[in-house]
Amino acid sequence: MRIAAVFRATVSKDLHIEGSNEDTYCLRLKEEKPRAAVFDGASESFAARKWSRYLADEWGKPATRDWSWVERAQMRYAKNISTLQLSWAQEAAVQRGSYSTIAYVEFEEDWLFFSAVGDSNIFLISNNEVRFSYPYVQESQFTSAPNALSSNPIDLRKNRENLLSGLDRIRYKSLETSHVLLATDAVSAWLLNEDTEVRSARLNSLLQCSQLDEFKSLVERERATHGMKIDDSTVVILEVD
Amino acid sequence: MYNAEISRSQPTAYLFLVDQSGSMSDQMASASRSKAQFVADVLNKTLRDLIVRCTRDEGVRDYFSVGVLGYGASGVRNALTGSLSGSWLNPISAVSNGTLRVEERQKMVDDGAGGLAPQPVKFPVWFDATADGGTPMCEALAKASEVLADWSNQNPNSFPPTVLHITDGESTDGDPEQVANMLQQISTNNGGVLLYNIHVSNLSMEPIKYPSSDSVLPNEHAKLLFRMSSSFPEHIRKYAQDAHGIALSPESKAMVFNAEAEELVKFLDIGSRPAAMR
Repeated sequence: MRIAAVFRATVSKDLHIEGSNEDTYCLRLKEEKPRAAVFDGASESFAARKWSRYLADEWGKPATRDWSWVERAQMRYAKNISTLQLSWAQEAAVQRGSYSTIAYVEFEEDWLFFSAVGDSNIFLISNNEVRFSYPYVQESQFTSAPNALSSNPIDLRKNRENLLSGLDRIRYKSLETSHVLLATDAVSAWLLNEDTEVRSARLNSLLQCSQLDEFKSLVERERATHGMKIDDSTVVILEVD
Repeated sequence: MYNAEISRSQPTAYLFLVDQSGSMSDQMASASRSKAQFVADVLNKTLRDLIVRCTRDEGVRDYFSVGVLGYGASGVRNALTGSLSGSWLNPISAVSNGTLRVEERQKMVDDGAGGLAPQPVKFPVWFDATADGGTPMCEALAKASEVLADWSNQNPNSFPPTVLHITDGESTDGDPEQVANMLQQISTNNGGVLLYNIHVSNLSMEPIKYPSSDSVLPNEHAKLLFRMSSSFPEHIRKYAQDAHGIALSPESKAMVFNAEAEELVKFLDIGSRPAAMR
């Protein structure tokens, strides 16, 4: 089994604001069980960019069978926040916490293990068609308030329950999977258009991207025609040998 | 319509219209304070909540422009003072920095032993209670029109402005219906100005909340407010159901009549709920 990243890219919702991208991704493809994840920090939360990056960092450390990486991310987040000089508004906003979605995959022989919390999605592609998508299968399922991993220590158990309830596996080789694709919600919703011809054309245009600039142009074009929501947009495309 | 995302490059506006006439000094039936004092507290909390919603680790993002128009004895005036007095609408980051003072108040929280314990919380104040004179509602609505016409011209693609109007009585400077209609005609490419009206009362009468027909209303004043009120966009109807269990139909008008303290709190929470922010 060989898993290779053929493309990964992330484009901010605000192209002219430096550091505004709250999405991130993490790839660990050389491990015994190759794995990859995308994260989407919720814009309405206090430190979404920081939180999604802490989650990605901790998720990317050597894999453990438990969910301790979430707790480690929470501890790093809390430690960082405690060093900040906060205004009254920031003190109040901290109480609301920070949130991030996650979608991840882990390959183990013929099986693909995966979990998702929120509206970041996983796609299995065969013959340039989406053969399987998770957790959502159509555009109308994307809402403005998805489930998410919380930075609040009091939510640790809920985070674990969400990850556990999202956990599943699929024998990906039986679907003749050529690519596994992970994407945050803007790209995922765009890919899951109800019209199958539109869906197919969009997937093809995405699979043809090999440079960040190409993806950026695609995203800008689709935003301009309201095909894709203006939001941080991230994609990871893995080729399955 | 009413589906534009709110962003720093495409903010929306909230304009609060507050009746400061003499009758606002009457005590509310369910609170130990006057209507004016209670409105001031709820408005300060609403401003705080709007700011907190925009606050990030790097600072306050300007998703909103915010203004407070008071009307009473001195006609119509900018009710935000100090650094905010020079403009009828200010970016939310400027409002955040423009407090009159930050008070320390007590909030009851879970004490971890089955009871409640007081916890100090910072309570920023921008707006103090005032109650004097008549009710120049027409003048206030006309000023709101002037302010929001300018704002809408400058922000043609934004989610349209929302006006949250708090009053306890009838206009003393004429029939406000036509001015209110003109206000709602002002629009961005995403829809017309939303006008929400709440009538606060010191009488212990059953409040009438978000009616979909004027047949349930007790008098001409209530019917006038009904005609002056917008319907709710879909995201607000959904929020009212999810957060407060209030079922709103597409015909429901954004008005409450004979509101007591609880209705005022909910009205401002629902009315100031933004569409999707990014």
